[in-house]
Amino acid sequence: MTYSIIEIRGDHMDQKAIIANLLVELKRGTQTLAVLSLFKDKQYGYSLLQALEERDIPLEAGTLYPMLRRLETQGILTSEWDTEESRPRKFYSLSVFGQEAYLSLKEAYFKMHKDLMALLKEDTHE
Amino acid sequence: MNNLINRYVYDVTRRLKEEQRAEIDKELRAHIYDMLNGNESEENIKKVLTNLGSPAKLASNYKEPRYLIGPELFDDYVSVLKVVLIVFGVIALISSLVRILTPEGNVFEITSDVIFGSIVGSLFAAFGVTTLVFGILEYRHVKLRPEFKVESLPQIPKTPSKTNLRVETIIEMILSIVFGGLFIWVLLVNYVDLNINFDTVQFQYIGAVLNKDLMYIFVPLFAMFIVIDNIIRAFKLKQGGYSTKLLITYTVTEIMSALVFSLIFLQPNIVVPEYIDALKISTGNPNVLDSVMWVFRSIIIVIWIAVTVEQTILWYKKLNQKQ
Repeated sequence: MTYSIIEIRGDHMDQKAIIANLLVELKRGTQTLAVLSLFKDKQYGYSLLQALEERDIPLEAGTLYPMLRRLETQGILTSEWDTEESRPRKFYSLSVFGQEAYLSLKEAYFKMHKDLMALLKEDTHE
Repeated sequence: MNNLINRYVYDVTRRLKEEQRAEIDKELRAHIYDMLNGNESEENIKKVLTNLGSPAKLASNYKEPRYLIGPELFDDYVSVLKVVLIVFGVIALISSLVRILTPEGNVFEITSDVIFGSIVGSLFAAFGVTTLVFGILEYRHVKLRPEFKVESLPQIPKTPSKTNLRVETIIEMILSIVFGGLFIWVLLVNYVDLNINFDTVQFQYIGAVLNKDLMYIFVPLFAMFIVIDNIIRAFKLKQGGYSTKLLITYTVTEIMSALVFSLIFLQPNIVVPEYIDALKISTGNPNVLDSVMWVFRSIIIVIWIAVTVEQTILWYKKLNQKQ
């Protein structure tokens, strides 16, 4: 397969890179939802990474840690340091507001999923 | 090899705001040791840190994106920058050519001085002023976040023009600030060091040219007019053109400033008498004052013609637009 060069705003971008970018954008919105879904009980950064990986939803550590911090400043997550063990560890849990936010996101996602599936099934250009 | 972890955490936190650093430092260390999973060999540390990715990118994920000039203003910035750089470049080039063609010292010395001093210098100044103006616009824009209203959409011009109003207005602002500032600077310095040697006459004059008392009246007024002009331009930018009220204000300001200029520069004592005396001796012309005043009168006539033409065009456009 060959890729031609497309000019976008004077930059040269490979078609492969364009597709990769679109995929990143497609995934981005669902990442927060995926992370929030794992908060049945309190979690720490690495446990979330592992849980996501087990479910084949790999998220980069460099993306997850800042995301946890952002969710905390937004009041969706609360955190506490556990200093009982040999190394301090920061545990996060879902706040009441976070629970509410998660349920709204989940509901919206189900609807989106249903609508999109219907739309994609009727596509005629294979 | 804890040193690598320290260096990594430092490289991330040094890019963050002071008040976030301690907390993120602690957090990041905890995350890294979790990822190490008890295996603190150099190899594993390297693997984990590589997995976390570049510190610059990780730090940027912790921050909201910030812009000196954001995407909304960027296209206008580039258009203005092009014009301003061309204008400054051409002026610097012409003045440089004049200096090269009338050399007094070593030609190479002058050439390198001109290229590295005046042209590069003026291009950087042009770049700096434009960037500063847009930086301020961006800052104000981000702070104010003006709400979009359909009513404030610009009118479609009767005669389609290639340049857009915003670009045009910002160029006017930059040029007026720079050249107005230069003119004020020249008036404030108000000093010549002439040393002319003709075959028969030796002539030297060091000192002021223009009457200082008059300059102390004129310079503040002139500076005030530049400020008012640019406030009017800022309103023009905001409204997307001249409203009738704004155009009346602009016309009054322009006439006032032309009047002030005329009144000051037609004063018989505008030029320092000692300078006139020196000119009389050097030129051998006893009526040299008349010639000088004639130059001033010509400049004033040109200014009035320019003001009349500009105002006529603006009012013509304005009245046409209404119909």
